[in-house]
Amino acid sequence: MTHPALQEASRAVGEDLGFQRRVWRAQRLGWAGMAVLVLLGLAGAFGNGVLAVATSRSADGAIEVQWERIERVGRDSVLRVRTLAPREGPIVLLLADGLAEGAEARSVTPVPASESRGPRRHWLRFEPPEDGGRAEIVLKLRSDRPGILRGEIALDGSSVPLRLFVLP
Amino acid sequence: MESVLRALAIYVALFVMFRITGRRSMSHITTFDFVLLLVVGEATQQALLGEDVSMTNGLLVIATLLLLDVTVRWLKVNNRRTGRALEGLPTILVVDGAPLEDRMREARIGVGEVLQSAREGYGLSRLEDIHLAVLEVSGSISIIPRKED
Repeated sequence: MTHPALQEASRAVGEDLGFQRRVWRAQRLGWAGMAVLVLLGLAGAFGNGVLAVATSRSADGAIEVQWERIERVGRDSVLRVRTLAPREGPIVLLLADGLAEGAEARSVTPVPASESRGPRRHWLRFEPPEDGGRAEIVLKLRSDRPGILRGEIALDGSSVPLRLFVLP
Repeated sequence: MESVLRALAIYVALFVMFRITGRRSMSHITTFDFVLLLVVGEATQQALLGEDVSMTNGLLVIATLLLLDVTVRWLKVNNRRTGRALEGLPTILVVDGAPLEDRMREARIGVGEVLQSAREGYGLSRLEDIHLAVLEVSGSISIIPRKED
């Protein structure tokens, strides 16, 4: 619309329609960005969802670890360690490097019979399952620093390297 | 240091999100908008303070937020381009009683909102009585009535 009154008013109020249209376009892109953010959040790209969960096995196939590779500061991350063959003797679980130093094991199920620590190492000793079947240990880890946490979890010599992205 | 960085990140994120959401005048917010703002404030609080609920942390966060706000205001006043980018420019929505529909659609402003401003400010009830309706950078709609011939 090229109404003379509009042109005059446009000058008077300091309007710049070209600029304003760019702003509106940027806003629409921003809405799309926010929608993508929400969808990624639902899918677990920022932790606590399908995309965040990872499973890995040790090279010798003795243990399987399921953990949340994307985590957030101040939130418990669930880590499950399972033996793939029945266990009879005591189980010794080792959390090494970032898992021992950058994260805190807030709860461990079953409760370990004993535990000990060394620099960048944390050992947990468990009784074997009553029925002599496969064992499972569930840990809830929490990190208070954002960043990449690299560590290793080992059970009687079978180890799995883990990497966790801790979001702020 | 973490508190300052948290406050900085939250300030920038909120600024960008509210800029994306568009202009909305405080005088035109609905009860639901108000409740939404309170919920946003509640969600922001934890992210700002973390687990440190000490007075020192609270004061540090408040000082950072206020300082950032002063800086942004200073930039708006002293640098025209930054001011335009941060705040936007006024947009004419109605001229001589005719609504500029493409602009109103893009600004997501309905004729009803223009008429509401006309009624509240000048007691005008018809678009034909409006010379200019301008969406200001604050989100309010200024009305300039038509002069009587």
